[in-house]
This record gives sequence, structure tokens and C-alpha cells, in this order.
Amino acid sequence: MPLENRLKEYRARQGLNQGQMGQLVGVSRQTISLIERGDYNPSVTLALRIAAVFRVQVEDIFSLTGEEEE
Amino acid sequence: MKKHVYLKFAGKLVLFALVGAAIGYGGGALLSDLGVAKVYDLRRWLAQLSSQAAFWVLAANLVLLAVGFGFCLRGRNLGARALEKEVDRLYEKAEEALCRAMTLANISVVLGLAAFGVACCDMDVMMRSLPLFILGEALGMALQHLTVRRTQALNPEKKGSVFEARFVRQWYDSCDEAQRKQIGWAAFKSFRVMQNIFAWAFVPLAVLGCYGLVGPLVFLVWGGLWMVQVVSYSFYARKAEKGQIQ
Repeated sequence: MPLENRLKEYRARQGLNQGQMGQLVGVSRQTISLIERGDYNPSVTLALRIAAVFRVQVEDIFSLTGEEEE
Repeated sequence: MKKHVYLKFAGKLVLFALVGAAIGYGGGALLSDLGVAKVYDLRRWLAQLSSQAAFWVLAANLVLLAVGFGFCLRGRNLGARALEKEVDRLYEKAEEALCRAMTLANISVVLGLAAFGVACCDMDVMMRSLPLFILGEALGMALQHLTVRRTQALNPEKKGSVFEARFVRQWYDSCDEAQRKQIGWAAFKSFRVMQNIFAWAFVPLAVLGCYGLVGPLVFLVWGGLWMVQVVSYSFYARKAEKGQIQ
């Protein structure tokens, strides 16, 4: 099931560019770009680090498409 | 597994055996018609033709490098604009241009070595080709170096210099999880391509062998290279299973 994310939206809200975002979570700008484009699904560790930057739950940023809401 | 899979596989084996037998018989018949002397003449003529062509391949290699430098320049300009304006799309375009430059540099280095190797079969051609070969290899290395420097300017976390023996290792170590996954995927695809090439190369080589146009050394090199690939893959796969990925 494909993974959707709202990373670009959260990043823009904080006024961060991809390079700055990458530095905050310890990955390259290219990786942030790949995640935003949906070309790479981050590891659990990276997803948790990204969520920690915005002080939200991982599920607020990443979600499975077509997932049924309870 | 379904029965038709076995039948299809058996059918392929029979077909290849028949083709092999036909080629072997045809080759033997041709050899006896032509006579050994004519086959050796043909072999000599092919060697001369390929060594003459090697000079022009080395010249064409310089054109390839010029295109590579063009991509590198484009990557540098786009990269400078990307760093100045912080536009994500410009970064992607700059990296694409630099990737093309690196691909051409790598092709050029291998092509140059292969062509010069062929040129060495003829002393005159070798002497004429030597300056082109040296120039091509030097420019190829310079293009690799410039491309790596430009990529490092865009991605400061990337480490290593092409002039160091441990460059590939240093570069890999400075990659993050997504980039390592990309490297793994590309390496796997490359492994599969080489597996197919090694397997299929046997057919034309065997045909040429039947006609006396290639000798046993070619099969030793072919088999040796394939063996190294298979054994090294198995060795590192076993290490990976034990969690020794470093």
C-alpha cells in the first residue's frame, strides 16, 4: 500500500528548505526531496525523527493511502 | 510449480542443443571447406581492422568527453543558481546534469582502455594511439574529479576524492539510508544485466570458437570474470546474512 506524506506542507509551514530539513533529521537534501515526491519510504527511525521536528505524531505526516478510517 | 514451466524449460534446452549442434556442424564444415590457412588470414584481417578502428574510437572518445564537460558546466551553473535561490527544482536539474557528466566520464575511461588494448595488437597503431589514449584518460579523470567536486558543492555531506583509492568506500559511507538503497538497487540491476550478458556471450563466443576466430584464452577470461562475480556475490550475501554489512 503506497505511503502518502505531508512533509512538504509541514516544512513550508515552518519555513524550512529541504537542506535545512535534512540537517535537522540527519539526512541529505536529496532524501528529503525523494520522500516528498513519494519516491522513498523512510525508515521508522527517520519517520520518528521527522515527526519529532514538528512535534507531531508520525501518523500526522505519514499515512497509508486507501487506509480505512475507524 | 506448474507442469508447463518444466516443459517450457525442457523445450528451451532442446532448442539450444539443436542450435548448438547446427552451429558446430556448420562451423566444422566451413573450416574444412576453407582450410586452416584461410581462417588464419581472416583472423589476421579482423585483428588489423579492429586495431585500425581503435584509433578512431579513441578520437571519438574525446568528443564524448567534450559532451561530458558540457554537462558538467551546465550542472555547475544550475547548481550555483540552486544554491543562490534555494529552489528545489534547480537542485534536481543540476544533479541530473552532473549525473550525465559522470556517466560519460566513466564510459570514456573504460572505452579508452578497451580501445587502447585493441590498438596494442598492432605496434604502429599503438604508437599513433598513445597520445590520444593518454589525453582521453587524463580528461576522463579530470571530468570525474570536477563532477564530484560540483556534486559535493551541492551536497556538502558527500566525502571523498577520485584521486584516492578508497573513493567509492568514502562516498558510500557518506550516503544516508535513501541513497544507500538507491546504490543497492542500481548494483542489483547491474548484477542482473551482467549475469545475462555473461550467459548469452557464451553463444557468439562458442560460434567464433568453432570457426577458429577466438582462442581458449577468451573463454578463460570470460569464465574467470563470471566466476569472480558469482563467488564475490555469494561471499558478500553470506556476510550480509550474518549481519556483517559495513
